[in-house]
Amino acid sequence: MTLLLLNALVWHILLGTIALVAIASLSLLLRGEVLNIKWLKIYSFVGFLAFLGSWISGGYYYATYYGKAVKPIILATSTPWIHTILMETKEHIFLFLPFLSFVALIIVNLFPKEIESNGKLKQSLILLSFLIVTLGIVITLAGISISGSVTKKF
Amino acid sequence: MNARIKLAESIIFSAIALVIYIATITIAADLLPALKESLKNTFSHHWIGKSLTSAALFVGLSLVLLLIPFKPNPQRITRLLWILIALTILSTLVILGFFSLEALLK
Repeated sequence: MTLLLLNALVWHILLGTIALVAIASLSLLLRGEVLNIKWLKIYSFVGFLAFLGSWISGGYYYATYYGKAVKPIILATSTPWIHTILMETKEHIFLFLPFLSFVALIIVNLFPKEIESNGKLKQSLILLSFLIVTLGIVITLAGISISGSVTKKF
Repeated sequence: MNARIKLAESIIFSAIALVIYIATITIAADLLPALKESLKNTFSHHWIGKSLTSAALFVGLSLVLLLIPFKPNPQRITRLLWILIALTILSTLVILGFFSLEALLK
């Protein structure tokens, strides 16, 4: 693996984790009675930007290296389903995350006062951010399984 | 206020269309090798093709909806968010179910 690919993989993981922490923070902050609008805006912006970066860096690694070098190793192990189910699902549901976090960013920035006064809007935004975090955790766990599958002895 | 509501509605509606599109293109490209090959030939990799067409659909549809005249409705924002959440969960389960079934049948 070249240094560029290694960096792409590391940034994919790092930015994905930063995005998860930011959206989880957004979700927790939204649960408060009095909302800190400034931090809601910061967390939603960081979450969106980090997902975007993770998408680009992970996409570069996946499209140029994974299929040629990693996928054949996983398919040759006793657990090929780690690619055929986990990786296939991960690479596609990841595509939801930058767009869902963009929706959260837009709502927070367009309706900061309404989020505080409109309970239904606030609840739906909490659920949206919770969904982003849940999908992010599932994707992270799939990523850990994929990495583990490549490095395990078989 | 109306402009903000219209912008939000356009973006959430585009996100709903995007979620449906991603689930559809994922399954269709796997079932139709010609589609997967066409994405690969056009964008160098099928996943890059799915990523770029998704982004184009989202941006394009958002702009079209912003230009189309319709009456913004603040109550619709919450409804659209719930639809987006439900369809994201459904699409995730459909994609997972599809690849699980495919792996089992191979």
